[in-house]
Amino acid sequence: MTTLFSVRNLTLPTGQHVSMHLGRGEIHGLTGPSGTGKTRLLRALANLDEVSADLRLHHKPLGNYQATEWRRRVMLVPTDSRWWLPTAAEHMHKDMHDAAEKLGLTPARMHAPVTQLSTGEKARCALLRALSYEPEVLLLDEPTAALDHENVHAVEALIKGFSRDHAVLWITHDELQAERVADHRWQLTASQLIRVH
Amino acid sequence: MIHLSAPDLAIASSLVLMLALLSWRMHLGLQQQLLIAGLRTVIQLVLVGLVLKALFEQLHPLWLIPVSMLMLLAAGREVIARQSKRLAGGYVVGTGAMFISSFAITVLALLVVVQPAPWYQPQYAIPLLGMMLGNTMTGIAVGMERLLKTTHDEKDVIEQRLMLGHTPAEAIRSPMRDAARAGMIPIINAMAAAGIVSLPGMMTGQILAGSPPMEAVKYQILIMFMISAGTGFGTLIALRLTANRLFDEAARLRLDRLTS
Repeated sequence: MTTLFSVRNLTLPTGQHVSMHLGRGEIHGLTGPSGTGKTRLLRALANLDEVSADLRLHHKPLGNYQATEWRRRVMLVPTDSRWWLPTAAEHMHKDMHDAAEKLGLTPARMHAPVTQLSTGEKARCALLRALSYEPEVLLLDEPTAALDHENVHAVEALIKGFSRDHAVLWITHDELQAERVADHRWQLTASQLIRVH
Repeated sequence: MIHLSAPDLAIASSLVLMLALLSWRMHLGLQQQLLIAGLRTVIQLVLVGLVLKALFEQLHPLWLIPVSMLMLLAAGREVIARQSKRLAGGYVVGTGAMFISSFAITVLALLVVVQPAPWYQPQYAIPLLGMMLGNTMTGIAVGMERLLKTTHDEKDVIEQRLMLGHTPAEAIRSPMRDAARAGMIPIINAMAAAGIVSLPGMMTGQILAGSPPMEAVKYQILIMFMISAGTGFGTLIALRLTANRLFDEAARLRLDRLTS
């Protein structure tokens, strides 16, 4: 498997050392107790916080990319999405009609005021928005935490499809979900990042 | 010109004292600020009067430089004092923006429009600069305050946009627009209402001091446009510099540069 994205010698503010490689076509599941720094890790990988680390995409270091280009290619989808235009549809970078349908989002919901969407609908729209920018690496912070059973499976199927040509790092609290979706599994404890298998 | 006597000013000051008394009776807690501000008005204006008298009559024009610098630094301090969130380096940003816009427009007005001989004659330069600084200061203070507060409050939206690969300029566009409006609306309103709702202060002063009304009107239009341009350009410069300080070279939002 060719390495698409790698991080080496990253020390989180919580003290753990992180080195990992994400290959094209891989989903990496990251679990661990709350407060150990999982979200911090994703923020560092998206270069949203200042940390010293060797981050590479296509073997080229972070410094070779414009900051905005890096984040567009290595895209973080946070747990709580934010919106600044009236409807979800207006936030999409390109037409996402087909993917929206797979996630059970009708055109009517996509064009409804964001304030009228449920937490679960917003979570799915946020994922769609990220995909509409065509990133190469997706960093997902509990994308299905607010979803019901049926939608969890729809999101998992969509991400699995996306991961065929890309790489995904997926934070989840659900061990069964990690089993289902991840090709590789990691656990972040208070002291270290452990490769589970 | 009708000269004002000490009793005239005493009557005016008794009005402020009565206001302070009312504030005390109504438990508004504003009486101390009112009295201190009133006292500052008297002391500062008397001192300025003495300085201007000396400048106009006796001193070398080079004295303009330290006097105008002092005015600038004092205005810069006022800008920072009005911020509920302080930005590291904010004093330099606010004062720098004020310097560029106020001085450039004052010099332009002196050289091209008013044309006293010599152009830097303190009798014209100091009051014009003072009026420019006073108004620019307010626009910059209000604009910066709004930008820092909105950025702080809308941190999550701004970071969400950065996550999608938007540039800092795109990510902070809505707070910038808000702040520019807040800084410039008062001066736009003042232009729109000039002469209808109120006679502008300078014109009133000139008429009271005995100038023909049309002369006072011409000066007032000049001043109004200068003030609007100075406030507008100064506010936009300050906002651009402030926004630059809110992000680092890697386009990360740096709210750690803000203190409450």
